[in-house]
Amino acid sequence: MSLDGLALPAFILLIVTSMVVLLSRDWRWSLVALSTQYLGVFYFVAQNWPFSMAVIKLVVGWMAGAALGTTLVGQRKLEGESLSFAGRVFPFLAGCLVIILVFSLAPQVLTWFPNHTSIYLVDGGMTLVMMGLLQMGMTGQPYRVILGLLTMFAGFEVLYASVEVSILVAGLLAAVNLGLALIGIYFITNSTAEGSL
Amino acid sequence: MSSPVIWMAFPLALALILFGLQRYTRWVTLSGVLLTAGMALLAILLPVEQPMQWLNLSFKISDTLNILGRKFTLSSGDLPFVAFIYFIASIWFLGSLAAKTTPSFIPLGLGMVIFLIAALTVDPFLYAALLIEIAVLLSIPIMSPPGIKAGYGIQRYLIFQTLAVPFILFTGWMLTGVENNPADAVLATRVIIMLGLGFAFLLAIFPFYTWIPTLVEEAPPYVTGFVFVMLPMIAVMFLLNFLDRYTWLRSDLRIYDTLRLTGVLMVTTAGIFAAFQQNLGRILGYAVIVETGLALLSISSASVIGLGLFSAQLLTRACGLWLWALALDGLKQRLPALGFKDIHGVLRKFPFISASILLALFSLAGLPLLAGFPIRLSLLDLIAQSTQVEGQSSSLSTQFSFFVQSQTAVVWIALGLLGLFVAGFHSLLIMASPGEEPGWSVGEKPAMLVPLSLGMLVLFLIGLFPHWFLPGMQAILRGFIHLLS
Repeated sequence: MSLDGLALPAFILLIVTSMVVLLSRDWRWSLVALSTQYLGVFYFVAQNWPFSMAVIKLVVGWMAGAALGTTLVGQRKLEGESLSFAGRVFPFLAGCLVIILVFSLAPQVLTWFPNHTSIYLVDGGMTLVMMGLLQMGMTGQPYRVILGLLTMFAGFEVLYASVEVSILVAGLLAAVNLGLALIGIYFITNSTAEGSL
Repeated sequence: MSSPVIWMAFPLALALILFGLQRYTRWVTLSGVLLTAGMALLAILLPVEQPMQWLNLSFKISDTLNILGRKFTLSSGDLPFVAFIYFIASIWFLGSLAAKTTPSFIPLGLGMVIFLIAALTVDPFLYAALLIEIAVLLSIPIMSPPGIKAGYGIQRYLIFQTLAVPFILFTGWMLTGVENNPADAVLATRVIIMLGLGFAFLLAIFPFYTWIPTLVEEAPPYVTGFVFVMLPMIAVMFLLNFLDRYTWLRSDLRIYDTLRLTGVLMVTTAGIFAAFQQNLGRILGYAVIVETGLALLSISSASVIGLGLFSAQLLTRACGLWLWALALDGLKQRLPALGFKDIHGVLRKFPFISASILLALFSLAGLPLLAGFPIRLSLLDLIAQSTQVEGQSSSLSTQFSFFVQSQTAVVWIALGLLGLFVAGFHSLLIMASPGEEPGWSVGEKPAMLVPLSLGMLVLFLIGLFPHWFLPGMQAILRGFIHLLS
């Protein structure tokens, strides 16, 4: 079964999910979006890697999401975090600017990659990288920093998969992703022990 | 049996066991010390790829281990450096008996050391970026104690170190393109920019170093000192690996000019900033930045002498930071904070701790008779004497000649070191001022007093007899055949 026609929907999925991760203050929505994001990552990685290796990205991403979610369940202090109207609109506008920037830069960046690389792959990877950077730059909360790092790293993996196929790299990237999730859990438990996240 | 199994797999298995036993803190610490000291000794004694006889058995330790289709190679040329890393780790673990560290410091610290060694042995060596990242992840729990919210410094540390990974991995891929087509100047420039950004994040190079003082202020000083000795050391060795492997990179003048420019900027800015700090932790952070800047300056000379100075600097840096971090940790256990308003009169109450902090600071600043002096002097001499051949300078050195040219560079470096001296004298003034209680007393317990005294003695010994200690350090660079030729 060919999945070539799904590049545009996968790219749109990455835009929507990364935007939800950026904007949502409810950890449930953030984690659902993060986990869904890995479907798009899996799709793009599978364009260049064997299916069995690309699945690692999906499994690891979901494991990271599940590990963070399991820790966050029952953390009452995390609920009800509300933001002002301006506090919501500003990140949304910044996210939109990032997407515009990606559209303008991607054709140039595409020339750096091998010929078979699709523009949607570069678009998707760059969107995640830049949304992740935006997320990290706009927050001081350790948990949200980890979400930003995971998003940024997912974008990098999409781009890197088009230039390097290696089982050791796949294993090391998986270890880094899971390590980031574990550090996220550590940050969350420390934050809630002190009373704020 | 292969060398990666002996110096990586076996210690890793023991680190996992120690992680499970961390509630027996004292035993775990002693095991960690013995293990790392044993590994250092083995690295000096055991020959690799040479037939050996023991009793009636004849065997050979191979230098390669294959994992998932890739090779980890630990050759005899790498072993002096492995011995050095394990030796430093054993000293640091021993000091943790006196310092206040989390129970996980020994197993996670050991794990960190192993992954950093693995980073230097993996082939293709670019994958080292991922192994260094894993070491960074292992360092987070020891620098962010349980029950305390992760601060700004630790978050930035994690972010910046993680940002280095994509740049370095992409550089690796681009390098193959340059190897195939060396005449492509655009691609070469692109590689240098990507490589520069990767190492700027990894080594916390100007202007990406702002998180270091914040992190030292927030985190336990002793473990932070450990991380700041291990990580930059491996990162610089990783950089040398790049230069050693790629001839075109090694012969590109822009690389050396960039190293010199960033080195000068780091030493100057961090030294001047240190002079204005009001917190002993933050001063340590700026001293770490100055040290990294000096390491870059040693490499920027593109000479065997410069590399020798870099290797010698690793020893003095480790000794100075060990003493400083241990003393600072001792002070933090006794005072609410390390700000200048909190340390009035500590020299009268804790003379050994205070003297250790001041001596370590002055050593890193390059005070005569202390360990840092011979290296600072030789480095300044080397930079002052380095002359650029007409027509062989890069555009970078022309644009930034005010910083890069030998005479002006020396002035800027001296200014940065002067900043550290000012920070030292300012600290001395505050520490020696009369506190609430008049008179002098020795408030340190023997468990703290003995290691501090030994540390101070070592700083003096290296300063007085550098020829006993420093020339031997060049052996750790034996693996870089092309750079040393």
